[in-house]
Amino acid sequence: MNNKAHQEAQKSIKHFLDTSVLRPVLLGTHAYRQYFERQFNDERQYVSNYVLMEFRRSYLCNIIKFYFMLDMPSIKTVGDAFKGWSHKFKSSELKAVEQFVGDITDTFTLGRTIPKDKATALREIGRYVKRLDMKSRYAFKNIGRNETDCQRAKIPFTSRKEVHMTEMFQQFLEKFNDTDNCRSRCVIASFFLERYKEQVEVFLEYADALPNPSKAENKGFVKIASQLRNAQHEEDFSCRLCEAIGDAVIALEAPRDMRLEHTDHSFDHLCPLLNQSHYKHPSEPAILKRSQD
Amino acid sequence: MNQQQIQPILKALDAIQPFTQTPDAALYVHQILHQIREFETTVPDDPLLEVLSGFYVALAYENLWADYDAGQFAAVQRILKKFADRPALKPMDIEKAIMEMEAAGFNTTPIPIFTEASDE
Repeated sequence: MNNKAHQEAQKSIKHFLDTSVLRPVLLGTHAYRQYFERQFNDERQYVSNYVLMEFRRSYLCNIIKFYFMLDMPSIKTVGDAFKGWSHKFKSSELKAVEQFVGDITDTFTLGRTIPKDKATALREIGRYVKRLDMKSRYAFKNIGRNETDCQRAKIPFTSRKEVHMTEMFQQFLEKFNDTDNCRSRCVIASFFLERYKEQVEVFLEYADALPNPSKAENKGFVKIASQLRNAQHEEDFSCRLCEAIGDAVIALEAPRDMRLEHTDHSFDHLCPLLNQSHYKHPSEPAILKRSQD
Repeated sequence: MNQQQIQPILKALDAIQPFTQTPDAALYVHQILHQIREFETTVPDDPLLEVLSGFYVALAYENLWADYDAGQFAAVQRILKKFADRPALKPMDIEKAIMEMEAAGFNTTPIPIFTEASDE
């Protein structure tokens, strides 16, 4: 295909973004965001309610949790909050929050050991989170589906009324964390056990036949298959399980006339089994290395 | 806040346009950033500050102010004029103003959040 024909073909593709691509498009390093701008040089980027929920769960919720720690009366400065946070929480997502808040304090030239700067830091972190959520909702077209009827995806983040940020975050997080209530009202179990039962059987057969299940490229998919194999009844399903098998939800829910854009190995297995067009993008470190070479 | 109150920012946005992408722009960005910080003290509950805060980050983070061109500063001037004169800014107005600023090329959330990939 010549270059012009390739460009025309690219223009006609509708891009359905997995969370692994949504994240860098909104939050990636400059070089990585530029990479995706070149890839999706048009308006045709789509997300689902479930992907937006995953974005909130994986990134925004962690920042909001730090916000509440910083807002504690026992915490005098941003520095105190950092110390407490990094002492207690080691995961990469939580460390990423520290790096982000550090950049906020630098951008607003706030002192990390100055008590009077705590309020400004809180305010700017809160405003930033609101903007991120807003951009996630406005910057992409929503496919409108929510086939698992995920209740967490339906919790409003912003208020139409003039509510203080702290109250708004509190209302959101309380409902988001009420997983018993959310699970009691979603249909994740019937989604996998009835609606997509045949597809799940295909996943399991394929996983059983994989020659190197512990290879890095296969591990994610094998783990998803294992979780699905063990979930045979309504009560086996939970928000925590859904988090672990989220890639399967996204692959099953993806519009078949769109290309699923991702960086995760698991979709390299899931998508062909569903005849789902997909494209695996290079990781952020790979793109950063390219831009430095 | 109304147009009258944000006049110092609007004036700086006018004055910067011949000097964008040069060191001379620093003078006007300095005025804008200081003015926004002053508003946080004088009118801390004004809803327009949510828009101005996004603008602050878009300018200040990694000195992105040095990259924007005259057309972009003119665009944000129009946006601020339009929204400053609305009698009572509602949350939807704030969202519209920020998204218009984004459409003009000002990234109000430029800070990367980088985590190790879970399944790469």
